[in-house]
Amino acid sequence: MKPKALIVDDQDDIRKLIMITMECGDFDLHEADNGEDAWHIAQGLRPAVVLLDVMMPGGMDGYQVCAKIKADPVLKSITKVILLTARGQLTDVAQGNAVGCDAYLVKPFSPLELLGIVDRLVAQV
Amino acid sequence: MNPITPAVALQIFELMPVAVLNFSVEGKVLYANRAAAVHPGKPAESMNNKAVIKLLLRDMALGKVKLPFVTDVELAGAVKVKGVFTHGFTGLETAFIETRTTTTLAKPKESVLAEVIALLKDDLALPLRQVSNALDKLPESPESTELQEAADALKQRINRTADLIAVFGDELLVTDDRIDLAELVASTCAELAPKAAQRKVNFAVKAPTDQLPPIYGNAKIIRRAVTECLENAIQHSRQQVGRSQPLVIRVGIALTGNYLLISITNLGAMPDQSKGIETRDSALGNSTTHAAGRLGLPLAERIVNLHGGNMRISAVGDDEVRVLLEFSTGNLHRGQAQLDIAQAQRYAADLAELMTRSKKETE
Repeated sequence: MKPKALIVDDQDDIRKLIMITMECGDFDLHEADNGEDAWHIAQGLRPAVVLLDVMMPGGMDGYQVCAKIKADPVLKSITKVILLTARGQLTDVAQGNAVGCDAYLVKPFSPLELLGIVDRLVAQV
Repeated sequence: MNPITPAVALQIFELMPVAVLNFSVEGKVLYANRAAAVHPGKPAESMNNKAVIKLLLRDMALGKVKLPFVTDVELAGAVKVKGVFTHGFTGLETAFIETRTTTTLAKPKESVLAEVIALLKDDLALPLRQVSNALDKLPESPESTELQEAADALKQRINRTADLIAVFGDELLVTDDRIDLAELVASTCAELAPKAAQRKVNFAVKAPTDQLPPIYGNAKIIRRAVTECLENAIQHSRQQVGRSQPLVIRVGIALTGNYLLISITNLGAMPDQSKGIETRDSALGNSTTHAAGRLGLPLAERIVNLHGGNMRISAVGDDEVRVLLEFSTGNLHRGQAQLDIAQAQRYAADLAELMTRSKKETE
């Protein structure tokens, strides 16, 4: 069975770009455009990896979704979280680490870098 | 993970908001993406078989010009673009990826504003401090207290004016600080508690029951907006209202989840003041006769608007004024166009290189 990947970004173009990039991998791809939906989908889907934008409208931002995934007794051991963000300050990276993200990619990121990180993390699951 | 295939890369190029072209070594345009097709400079037509481009591509193929090579290109209709030539999709082909120069018009405006603000804050701060120090030396009396209060009010007015100029001057002030709005409101209330106590006004801060999402913006100026609204409420409260008539401040989330709300309900509003506040979405310019209202509330409204939100004031009955501040959750894609372009360029450059590598490996 293909590992599941959930791509979360409120911007359609960026989400599409990541989806197409991820199609190079053997993934069962799913998407969401806000934090609340991402959290609900993740609970049912149990993805191997979540590519998560940080600043999103709705009830939760990326950091909060990541914190919930990492606090979930089931998801925390099976789901890797990659935060995708334009916020590249040290405090932002620290915030990502504080909520337990597995990788932090600052936009504009390279597709090669993205694929490399996804490969590495999924191999750990 | 499979390598990115040319077919996938082409799919991605089609999504790019910048022109991507691929040239043969002879200077012929072999591929132009969708952005190039709708580009006002018609780059595919303008650059196809153009003598200067042909020479450049030949020199690149011979290794005389190193890649990536950044240059300006004049297109149709006198449109000029900046772009980068890099390795093409296959073999000796060369790709051209459009880049754009950012406008620098805002810079001089920003620096003029910064000077005005510095003048207001710094140059006037010293004489004000001197006045304040001189007042401190006066023996305690009702007159000296009154003078001290007048000096404080003047200082506050100068700071407010400086912020007003800043927020009306340019949107560059809007940053992406991650803000816990409930915490910001609580700490602002704590700061203003002595002032409220002085006027015998009671605060009742109703904390949210659930965890709220953060908002993204400039924490300093959002604090200023909240402060202005609360100060205005304190100012307009009937003095010595009982505990049953406090200023009620609530922070919550709109049902849609797209906005965080701060509601300030002033049950003890002075009737003569509340009647001056019109019930409409943006009734700030002439909403009150108080000077703080004339400067402070438009300042607060501007700050809220800059963060994609709204400010509403309504008078309910004779004795109640409600101020509602709505702030968008998530980011507003401020400066997103530049980021999208940067992201697209990063993708395009990497993909062009990937395709070249993949071609070399299969040869």
